[in-house]
Amino acid sequence: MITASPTLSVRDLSVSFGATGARLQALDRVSFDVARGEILALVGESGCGKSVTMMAILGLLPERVARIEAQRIQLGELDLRKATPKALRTVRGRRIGMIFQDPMTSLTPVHTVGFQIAEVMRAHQGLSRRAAQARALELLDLVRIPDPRRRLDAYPHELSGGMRQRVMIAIALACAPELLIADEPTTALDVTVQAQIMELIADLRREMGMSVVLITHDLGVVATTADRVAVMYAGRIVEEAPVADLFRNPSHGYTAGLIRSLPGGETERQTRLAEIPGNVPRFAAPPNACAFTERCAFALPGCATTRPPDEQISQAHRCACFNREAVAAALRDTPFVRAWV
Amino acid sequence: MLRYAATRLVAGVPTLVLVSVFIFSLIHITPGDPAILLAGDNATPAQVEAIRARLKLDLPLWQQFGLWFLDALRLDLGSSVYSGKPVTELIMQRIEPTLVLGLTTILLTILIAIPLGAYAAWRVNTFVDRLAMGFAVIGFSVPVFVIGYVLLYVFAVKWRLFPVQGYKPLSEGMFAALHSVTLPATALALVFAALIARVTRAAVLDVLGENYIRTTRAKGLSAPRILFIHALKSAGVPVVTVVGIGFATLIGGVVVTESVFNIPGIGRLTVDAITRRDYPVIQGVILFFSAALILINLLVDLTYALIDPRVRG
Repeated sequence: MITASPTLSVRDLSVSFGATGARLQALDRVSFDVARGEILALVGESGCGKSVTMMAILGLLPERVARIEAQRIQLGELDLRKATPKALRTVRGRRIGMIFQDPMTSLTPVHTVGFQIAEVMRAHQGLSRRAAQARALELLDLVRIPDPRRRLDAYPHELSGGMRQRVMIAIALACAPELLIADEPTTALDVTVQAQIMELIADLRREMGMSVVLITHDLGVVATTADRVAVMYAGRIVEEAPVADLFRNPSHGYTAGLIRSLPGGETERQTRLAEIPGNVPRFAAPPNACAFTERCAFALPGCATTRPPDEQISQAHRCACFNREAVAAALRDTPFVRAWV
Repeated sequence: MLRYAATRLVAGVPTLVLVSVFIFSLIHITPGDPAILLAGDNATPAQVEAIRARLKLDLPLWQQFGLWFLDALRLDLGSSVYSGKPVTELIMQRIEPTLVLGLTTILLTILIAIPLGAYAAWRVNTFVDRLAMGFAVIGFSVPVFVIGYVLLYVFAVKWRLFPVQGYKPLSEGMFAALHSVTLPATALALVFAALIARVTRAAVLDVLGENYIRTTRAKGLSAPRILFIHALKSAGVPVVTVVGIGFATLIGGVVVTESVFNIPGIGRLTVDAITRRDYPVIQGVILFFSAALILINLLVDLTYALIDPRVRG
């Protein structure tokens, strides 16, 4: 599925916040590609920089406090680092669609959903009011909202959370973007609705041939939906691989911690789920260390003093961990990993 | 909606009754006697008594009120003690300048204050924001008559762009009328614009932090569209509330402004009536203002429903 020119290509993206002297590093040299038609999952705990990554790419971070540096942020042929604010605006909504975590508060309460869907097409494609409304109706049908004609005139507060997330998806897909960024799209929804929404996103990706970046902390969602995974910790990508490779051969101490905290992540009949001790550091660790060292079950003496380099385990699998053989060996016999082999 | 409006109008009637009782008591508690003023400097006590009897001021207070109230029910608010003209007729004669002045003021206020407040919120903590809010503080702290005299001095006396005082009725043309109320309306508008700009800024600032504003950015909408179509409309309820309150305070401002600029409106009528203790006119004018207020409150409530669908149903 991976072709020569990726939809989105990011190299060494760093973001820091705050005034000089007291700057806080939120992202530290993040690199990844999203191939055409692929779903890349960005996984990690809250605060690890998943959302900041996407906001930085879209130019949505407040200019006055965020400093963004990158070797490359390339959307197709367009260099997003050099794009003017106006050019970035036409990228947002037209070439990159975005859906967010909380559908209950993500729609303007005082406008109908039909208006809010039609608005994107009127802004980017210059459609007439009538044509945009007709397209909005088709889109509501596309995201499988029952009785779409009636919903067109509904206000957000008249719809359920799942419905509203479908409306958000309709807005994101209105201009048939080449990339969809879904930032924890199911976190605020019921479990049954979660599955429906993920299925919808996966189906639409196929139908429309777009790429998807799926930001999530749910490895279950990753396993069922994504093609490739990038695991993030404290502002860095610590491991990246196709889903099957990652789950067959987890190699970073943090990936191991995530898998162990799943049902079946340790033994067949555990009565209590394992957890990763401690909390995510608020911002990235000192530059000369692996940020996960303190919480890591596999930490070596060198982890606290040297930053582990990115190493290729296989062609598509890279990992920044000094003890990756031990990690892989320790997880080889867990039910979760065995299920993937 | 229509039913709701009708219910609210009917509910306003008891309010008006209470207001008239209150005003009636207040007028008669304050010192001063129209009969003495009317009779002139050299009147004998007998003459004064005669006048009192003619005006029925010798009756007990509750009887005076009862007589007035029964007439008021038939929309007869009595007659001026001085000119003898019916109060309703006096009000109708004076209503046009006040309406033109009031509406021009409100229009100016909204045109100045709402875009200013919204823009200040958009550029929060920048120079533009500080400048706008600095202006708001000045507008809010300086009394309307001071602003009125300053405007008069600069624009009417020095530069002769506008008349110093007076009012040209609409019958002499729309332009003439608007030209004659420009200065007083600006003086009044500056005061209310200050208040409304501050409230608009606060309300819009609140909304700009909402998730749905992030959505509008992700949609790639233009800044004016995000600010005015999404943020400002969502922040509409508190803004409309303050505009409504502004209308109410405007009545006080109109009275002062009409005196400063010598405009023959209801404000002037009120001031003249109070200085001459013209009881029926005072009573009628205040009743008229109360009815206007009730109507404004109703309009404000109906506007809520118009801008925010969550208020409906």
